[in-house]
Amino acid sequence: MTAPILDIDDLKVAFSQGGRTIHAVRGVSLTLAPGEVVGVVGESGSGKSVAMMSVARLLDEKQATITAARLDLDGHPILGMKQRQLEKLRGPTVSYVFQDPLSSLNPVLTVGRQISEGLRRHRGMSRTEAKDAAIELLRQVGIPAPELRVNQHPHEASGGMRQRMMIAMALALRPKLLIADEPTTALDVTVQADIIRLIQQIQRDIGMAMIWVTHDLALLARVAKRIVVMYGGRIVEDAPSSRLYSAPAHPYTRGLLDSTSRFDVSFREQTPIPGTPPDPSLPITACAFAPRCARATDICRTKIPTLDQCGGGQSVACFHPLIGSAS
Amino acid sequence: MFRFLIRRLAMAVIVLLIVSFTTFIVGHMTGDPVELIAPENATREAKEQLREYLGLNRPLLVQYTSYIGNALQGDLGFSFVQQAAVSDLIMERLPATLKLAFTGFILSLVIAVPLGIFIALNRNSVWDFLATSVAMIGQSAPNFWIGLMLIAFFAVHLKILPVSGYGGVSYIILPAITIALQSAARLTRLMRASMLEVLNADYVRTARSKGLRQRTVLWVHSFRNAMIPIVTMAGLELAELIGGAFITETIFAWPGVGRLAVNAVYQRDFPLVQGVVLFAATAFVVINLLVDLLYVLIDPRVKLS
Repeated sequence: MTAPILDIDDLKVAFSQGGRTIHAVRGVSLTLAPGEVVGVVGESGSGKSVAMMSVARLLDEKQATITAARLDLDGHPILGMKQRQLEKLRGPTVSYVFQDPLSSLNPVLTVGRQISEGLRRHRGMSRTEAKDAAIELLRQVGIPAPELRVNQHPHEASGGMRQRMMIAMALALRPKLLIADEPTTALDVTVQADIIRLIQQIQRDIGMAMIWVTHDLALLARVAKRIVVMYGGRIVEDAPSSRLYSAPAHPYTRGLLDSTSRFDVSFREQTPIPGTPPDPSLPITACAFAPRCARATDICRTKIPTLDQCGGGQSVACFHPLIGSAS
Repeated sequence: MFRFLIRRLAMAVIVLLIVSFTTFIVGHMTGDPVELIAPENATREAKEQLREYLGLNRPLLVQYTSYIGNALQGDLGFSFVQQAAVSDLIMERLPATLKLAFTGFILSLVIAVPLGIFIALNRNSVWDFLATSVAMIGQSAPNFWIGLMLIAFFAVHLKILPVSGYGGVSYIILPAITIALQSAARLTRLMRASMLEVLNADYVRTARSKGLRQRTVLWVHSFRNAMIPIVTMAGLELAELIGGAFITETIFAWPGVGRLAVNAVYQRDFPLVQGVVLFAATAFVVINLLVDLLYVLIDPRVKLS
């Protein structure tokens, strides 16, 4: 087996906010092989975005404390790294596409400038070389008249165009790992499909590993072979997507699937998950989902379940999974 | 660009008309200028003659129109108290005011911009706490108090700077510090807030995610965006200083437009008051226009149409 591009073991992230401590991520372990595409799903506050930001240490470390037994990016342990060394990995090794392209692009710099600065920094290109490369990248992401667009500012483009620019920027250095954090959530439904197809196509062309972060399970069904479900700052299920959809093992995954919009199910038949997500400022001593779970028993309220294999490449953190011994 | 300029100029003219009209009317309501100019023992006939000579017997609107007509040609009227043309009096005082205003303004920017950025980058540190506290005090302390304290310490106690007056470099130090401190306090707080907001912006995170050097993230991606609100505020500060640092100029006996205005008010020198107000308003309008033009250079989202 080749060395993993990303190897996370027991990642924890805590924010201190006005005397309170918010435990956003409470022990996440995840390994990603080169070229592998994984979907990370969870509701807002599940810690999925924070966990993924930690991969390149993009969080404000004045507020966030990141700890992990291991946090290796392409073989480099990034937790002990100095900013200087980290900067060399950001871009060529790991790159990001963020949710809102308007706020994620700098309003006062031209699109060309924002795409080419990574190339100049990491590849040592000259101004003109980098600009030509930026035009070529804009063409690749399907932007018409790229030689005009390259001199424009982000506000002059539509939402879909902006996200294409963002993608061009993230892919400029052909990263080994791309993390797309809700890349289509802020876009019109009509352009969402185009953007998803574009990212998929480029992922296959470059052969890069990729993590899709989203709250939309239906989207992941189309893009990821493997899906990781997060709840309360932990991974509760990790499974091949075919298996996750046909035989979810965690009651929370089941709940997510039941509450997901589907064309063949009327709104009334969708069942929301009762209750609210756990309070991230409290320590955990039990299964975080237990208060909302119909299957919960005493052990669920007193012990923290570990993420264990349950066959077929599927892992679940549950004392009473929906398959195996429980079914 | 052209249409923008025309529209802004038209607005500027309207503002100036309103200001001049208001001061004109208010000035005429505060008393009869003839009573001030004429000697106390002047006869009714003599006063009437004087009124006619000065054109003060004409309807108010006619007087105002001729005032504006003259003002457009650079003639702001005649000060009877000083026996000189108002425009000459203002022009005579303008160099001193500009000197003080720009010295104070530059001093304020030189303090506020680096300090604001520094404490934003080191927020919640001892430096941040100290600087924000001092800025808070500086902002709340009235100008005349700061001016007097500076005089008491540097001029009276240490005897290293002159108390007041106009002359060499040593004379400008205390008044410049006085006007710079308040302005610097305001601008430092704004710079800090603006920088903090920008540092938390999504596009700064994007810049970091591309592996750019910290100084690139700071100076290329953050600084320019953080300066946008500062430019507006700094423009207003400068306009206020040029329009007349009334209190500071009076405390330091600085022979500028502000002190000219204060004296004019005391002496009920109505044409002069009116001229200074019009001058101050013009300074305000012109600087705001320049700020708008400057915006176009920093913020491409601002469209000139």
